[in-house]
Amino acid sequence: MAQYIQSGEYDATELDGEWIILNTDNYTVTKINEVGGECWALLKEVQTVDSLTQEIGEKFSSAIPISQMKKDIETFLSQLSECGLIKNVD
Amino acid sequence: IQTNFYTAPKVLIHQPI
Repeated sequence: MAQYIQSGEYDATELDGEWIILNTDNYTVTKINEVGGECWALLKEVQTVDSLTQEIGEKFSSAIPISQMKKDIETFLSQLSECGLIKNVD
Repeated sequence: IQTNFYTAPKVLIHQPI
């Protein structure tokens, strides 16, 4: 199971339910939604897709199946990875 | 008590400064 963590100590600010992350390594700004921000906060420590899915499932009420939530989080993690904000932990 | 509703986590904007 792949493990992920934030790739650096970046400034993140919550604003009207959205999070803005300032990456001072490659000078980019990234805006993510509320659930994404919760994932981002959890990624200060090593996480897996399963651990994130469990945490998010407990924090947010949802009618969608866990399998769909897991798929959403996998997609989100690949987006964060493309943005250079998280890295794989071996 | 869960008061927040789930929406798929998403990157809304990503751009260079």
